[in-house]
Amino acid sequence: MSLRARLSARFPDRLPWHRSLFRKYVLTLVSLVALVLSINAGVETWILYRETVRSVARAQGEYAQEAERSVEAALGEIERQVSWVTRASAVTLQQHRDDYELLLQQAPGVLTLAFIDASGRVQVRSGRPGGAAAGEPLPTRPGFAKPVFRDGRSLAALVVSHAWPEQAVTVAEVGLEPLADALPAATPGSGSYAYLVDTDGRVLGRTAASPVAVGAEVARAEAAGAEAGGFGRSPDGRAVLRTLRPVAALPAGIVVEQPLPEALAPIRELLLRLAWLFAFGLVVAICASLVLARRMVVPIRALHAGAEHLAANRFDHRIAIRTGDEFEALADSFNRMADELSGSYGRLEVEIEKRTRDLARSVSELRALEETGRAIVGSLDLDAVTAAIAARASALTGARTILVYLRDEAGGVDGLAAAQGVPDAARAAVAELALAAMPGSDAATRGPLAIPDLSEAAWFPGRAAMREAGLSSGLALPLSDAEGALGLVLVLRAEPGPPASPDVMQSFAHQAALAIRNARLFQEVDAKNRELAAADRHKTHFFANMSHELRTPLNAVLGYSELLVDGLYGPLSDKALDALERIQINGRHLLSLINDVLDFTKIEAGSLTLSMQDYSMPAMIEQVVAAAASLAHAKNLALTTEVAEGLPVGQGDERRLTQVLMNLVGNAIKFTESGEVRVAAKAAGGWFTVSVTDTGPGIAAADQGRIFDEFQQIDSSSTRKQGGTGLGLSIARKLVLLHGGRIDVESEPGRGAVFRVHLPVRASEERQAA
Amino acid sequence: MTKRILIVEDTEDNRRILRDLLTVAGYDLLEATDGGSGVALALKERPDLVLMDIQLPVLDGYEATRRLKADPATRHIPVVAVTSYALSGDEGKALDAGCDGYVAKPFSPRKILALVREILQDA
Repeated sequence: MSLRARLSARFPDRLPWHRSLFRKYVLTLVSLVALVLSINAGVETWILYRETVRSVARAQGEYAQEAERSVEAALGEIERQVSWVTRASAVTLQQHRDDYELLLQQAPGVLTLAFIDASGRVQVRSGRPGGAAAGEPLPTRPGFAKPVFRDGRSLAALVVSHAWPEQAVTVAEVGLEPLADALPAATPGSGSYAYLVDTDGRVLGRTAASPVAVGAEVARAEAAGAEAGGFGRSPDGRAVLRTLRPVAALPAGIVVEQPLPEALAPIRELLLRLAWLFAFGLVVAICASLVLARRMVVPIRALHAGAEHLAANRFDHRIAIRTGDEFEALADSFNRMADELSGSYGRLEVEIEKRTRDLARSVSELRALEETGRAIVGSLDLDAVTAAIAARASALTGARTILVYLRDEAGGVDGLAAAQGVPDAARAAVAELALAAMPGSDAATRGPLAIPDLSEAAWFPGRAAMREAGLSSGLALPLSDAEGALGLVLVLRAEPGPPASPDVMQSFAHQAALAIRNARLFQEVDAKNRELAAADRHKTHFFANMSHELRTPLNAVLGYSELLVDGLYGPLSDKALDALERIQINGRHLLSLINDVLDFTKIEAGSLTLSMQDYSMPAMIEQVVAAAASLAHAKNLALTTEVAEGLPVGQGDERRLTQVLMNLVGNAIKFTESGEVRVAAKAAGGWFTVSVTDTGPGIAAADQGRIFDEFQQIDSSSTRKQGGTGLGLSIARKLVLLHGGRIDVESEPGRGAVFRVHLPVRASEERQAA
Repeated sequence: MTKRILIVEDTEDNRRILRDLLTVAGYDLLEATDGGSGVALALKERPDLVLMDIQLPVLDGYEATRRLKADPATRHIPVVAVTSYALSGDEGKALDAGCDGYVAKPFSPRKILALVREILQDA
């Protein structure tokens, strides 16, 4: 189980571990401690490192100095041996040769000896086998020359000066073996070693621990320069700290080296120590932060849980924190808040419950009221309305005994209009109560009369009878509107107390009053309508009858006239015939007047029906023109037609349409004194357009709208002059309208007039109805 | 043989006009002043044509025509309504009742004569 899982198990929480406060606490504390420890370790390590490197360099430097002294001592010993041959007593070459032989015998380290005079020539030369070959160039500068290796030995030429002859020198070739062990054994620091190396990289001497042998060749000429405590590579490739020191007496240098692991051992130890310290510090920090975080987070979690309980309306939860600090104070505040919330929530719940109950009651009352409205306003029959009022009052109040009284408007007498569930024993008492509660003339000020308990209504004499009949409470609702009292609803219940809320009962009373008023208005309107219809029927009947009665004598007038004209009763004088013609003309005119009046009456009464049939527009026009030809001829007017080719077959009432055209053509001829009357017809888009154009006096714009109205001619003088009822155009327009068409006029005074009939080619019954 | 025409008409003037017109034209005339006697006379005399007013006492012209047309003995006799009921639809009503022709009042004697001659094929 991972640490995280363990912590999560230990501190269960809704928040995921990576977001929790606990984690933040722990991580922050541990990071802080780790940072401090790391900085400390770094600084300490750096200081120790500097110190270590410096002390190694110092120790190596001291050793190198001492080693140089040892090397110089060894060299000095060699030089001292050779210097013996430069004694002043030897002046001859033989003496020098002898000295050389002697030295060669005594000093095994010397290989060859040569005497060189001031001019640089070799005067004497002695040597043993293995020495340098004669003829090799010899150095002349006093001191050791650069070492050379031959046959596995390290050799160097040593030049010593003679006191006499001046500038003469002895050059000795000496072995450098004494140098091999010349370095002091005590090298500084464990694992360290030293060696002496010439400028060619040949090792001349070494300490025991040195990885290089005498005579070995190292890659570099270390002796060339000085170095103290630098980093480098040992001849066998290891990283080392080393110091170089050149030797003054010999072109060679001392190298002191210590492998890095040994040189930096103190640092490694320090690092190990620091690591332990770091680990310890970390553990301590983790433990401390866990403890601290827990002390912080556990109360916060408790607060959180408490707040969640509050949010979920669980007000009985209390937060238990006993830390004695701000957390406890906060928890106490939370708990107090929960107390108060719990209290107010409880009050709120009670309040809401009450409100909900009230609302439900209101809703049911409103619904009942709405149904009531629908039921009692739904009818316009007064009896049905009062019955509905009684039924709905019963439904609304739960009362079985309901009485509805209506005030007769005419006589102010109150009458019982509807009643249900009235016990016989209580009838008289109920009537008494109704009388007492009936609204008077000041109905607007009269409110409902409520008797919540009949036993307490001492003022009411009939209460005993009513209680015996099982009635305990009563409510008298006056029905009235702005125009006055309409009646009364009496609600009598077996249970005491108010039947429903006063507002509801008041609304009910308003609705009932409205319904009664509407029903009464409707009754009036209905009665008026009936009267109007009867009057209309009478009018139509009267006109029809009159038409009949007028026609009968007219038949005699016209009939006798015609028989007379035809000579049936013997020959007549011209004067008599002329008079007879006038009789006939006036008789026919009278007939046309009667026909107009009759048509108009029928149209007005809506009883004129069209008899639809196919007709030919050209034939119709031809017929009209033929009938009118004599009239036109009599006034010397040209009557012309202009009928388009291929007009479609029309549908409509041919007789009536002929009547319309006849009227228009007749009018045109009647009002035109000279010129022509032209009838034109064309069809387009399913419509006929028939125009009647005249060259008469024309019609003023102001009159154009009026001429289609009944009994209108342009002025009364023209009526007198031209005759006619003034109904012709009105009838024509109505007939065209019945066909679904329209008729209009275009005219200017003095320029004649054009009447146009726009008529659907196929007029239909539907259009007629519309 | 002289054709006989029955005139059923309650107005004396109209009866006389028809009588004068048709007598001169050479027809024999039978006359009745109400629907009931008109029907009875037609059954009895079997005229060649009946000119029937519509608004008549006792039995109106429609009913009289219906009766004549219902009786096999008189069914073949043509009946022409001659009436002051000249409103639209009146002609239809007359034809529905069984009339074979319809003339509205006021009528033209010339046209009546022409119609009678046409019906009796006496041109």
